[in-house]
Amino acid sequence: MTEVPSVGELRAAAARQGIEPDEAELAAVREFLAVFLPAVESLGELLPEGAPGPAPLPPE
Amino acid sequence: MTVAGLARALRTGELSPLEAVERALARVRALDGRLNAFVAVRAEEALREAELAARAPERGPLWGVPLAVKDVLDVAGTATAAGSRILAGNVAAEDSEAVARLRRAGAIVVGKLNTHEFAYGPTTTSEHFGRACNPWALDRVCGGSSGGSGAAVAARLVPGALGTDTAGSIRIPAAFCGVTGVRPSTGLVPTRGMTPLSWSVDTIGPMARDAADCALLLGVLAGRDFTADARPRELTVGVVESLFEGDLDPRIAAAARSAVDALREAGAAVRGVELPHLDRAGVVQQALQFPEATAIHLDWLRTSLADYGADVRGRLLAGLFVPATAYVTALRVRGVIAAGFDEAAAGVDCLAAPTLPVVAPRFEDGKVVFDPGGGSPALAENLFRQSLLRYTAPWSLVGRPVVSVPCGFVDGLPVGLSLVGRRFGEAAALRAAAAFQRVTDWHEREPPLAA
Repeated sequence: MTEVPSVGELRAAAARQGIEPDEAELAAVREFLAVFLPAVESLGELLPEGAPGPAPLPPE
Repeated sequence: MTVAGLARALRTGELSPLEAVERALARVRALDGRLNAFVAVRAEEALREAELAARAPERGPLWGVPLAVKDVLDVAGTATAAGSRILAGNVAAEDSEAVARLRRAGAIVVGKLNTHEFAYGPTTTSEHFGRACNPWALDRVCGGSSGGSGAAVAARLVPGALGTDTAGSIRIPAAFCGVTGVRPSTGLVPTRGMTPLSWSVDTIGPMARDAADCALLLGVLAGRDFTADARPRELTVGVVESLFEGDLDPRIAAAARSAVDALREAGAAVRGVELPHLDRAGVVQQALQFPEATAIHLDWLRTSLADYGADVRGRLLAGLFVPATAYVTALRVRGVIAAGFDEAAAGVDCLAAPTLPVVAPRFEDGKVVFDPGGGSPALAENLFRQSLLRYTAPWSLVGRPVVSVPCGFVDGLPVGLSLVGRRFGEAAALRAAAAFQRVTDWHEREPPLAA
């Protein structure tokens, strides 16, 4: 199960990219990630065994 | 007057291009102070272009027709701010491809339309350019991100406009403002010269009063003929049953059901369809869109973080933390969902579902009123976006075209029906929309402000 990063971990990860959000922004991001990351992780269950890799949408 | 009606009047000489442009500019002057649909009016340029059009040897299908475009599309010599302070003064050197195609067909661009900042939100409540208001109720949002386009067409400031749609940005304002809008198949209309939001899913499409006008405009944008033939026979419509149930306003579900009944009575074959994984599409869409949008904005996040509006800044920051593995999984799941939709809807020309589950929310004390649902204001806003995404994201994700048509009113506010074609099946969706509008008059209703 994906662990949601703490605000401190988010701050450090953003800083490594040269971005410096404030505490309130990071707290809001963490609140969103707490819902979003488990939902994203569960998508794997939709992939049948041997499902192909990423592909563009089919052309016309 | 509709785009087609105006083009006809211009061709027959009932009206000159100059008169058509002057009328549009007069409407903008009279009404836009209350709507804030426009962020820039090209009055002098448009009048000059109208004079030149009168002497033009070639007259395309939109000859002399005044249109306006969302302010994420470049118009040569005019600033593209994309609703943001960051791009202030960003004057475009050349037309976006979509605008160039409109102009080659003879259209005259009278201005740029308000948008949610960087097209990244559903309410067009820009901290930098002010909120665009819903012509049906000025205290309501007009949707977004192409909110200015929806408001301008609904209030009859212009007969048609361009919007862009990544996860619903044409369909949301079309439904909230009571106009017809088309999100084309992903890849149909070139996006060169558009401020991108998410490369995998971005589209450019028309908004107008009816499907016939959208067909005309989309034909110009795509370089083909989408003449909306309004014969519903030989059309099979698949009703996406699960989107008529659950967490939506039951009065909207009833209006959409009535719309489907109207299509059936007009001769369409109608059957129920259950699409697999529909409720997961929003998450997949976001797992693609969040990191793509953040990648586009990475340099500005480093240098100009404080210049973003709070909501957009929050979404862009969230995109920093979507794992690369999630992005790849989302791309793979998109294929599974698209194949599942194709199989479940085999033999169906277009799908039908409510465009949105709610009517336009109110704007009070400088904020959109979202149902708090027990969480923080940021989480409440996110839940509102998720409720919209449940209805709009599935079609974006798999690249299908959607025509949103007005199909009724709830509490005096417009609601929409989505007609979803097969991939590159715009013609069938437009045909269903035109058939519906032949037997109903929701698309002809005007907000009192426009009268």
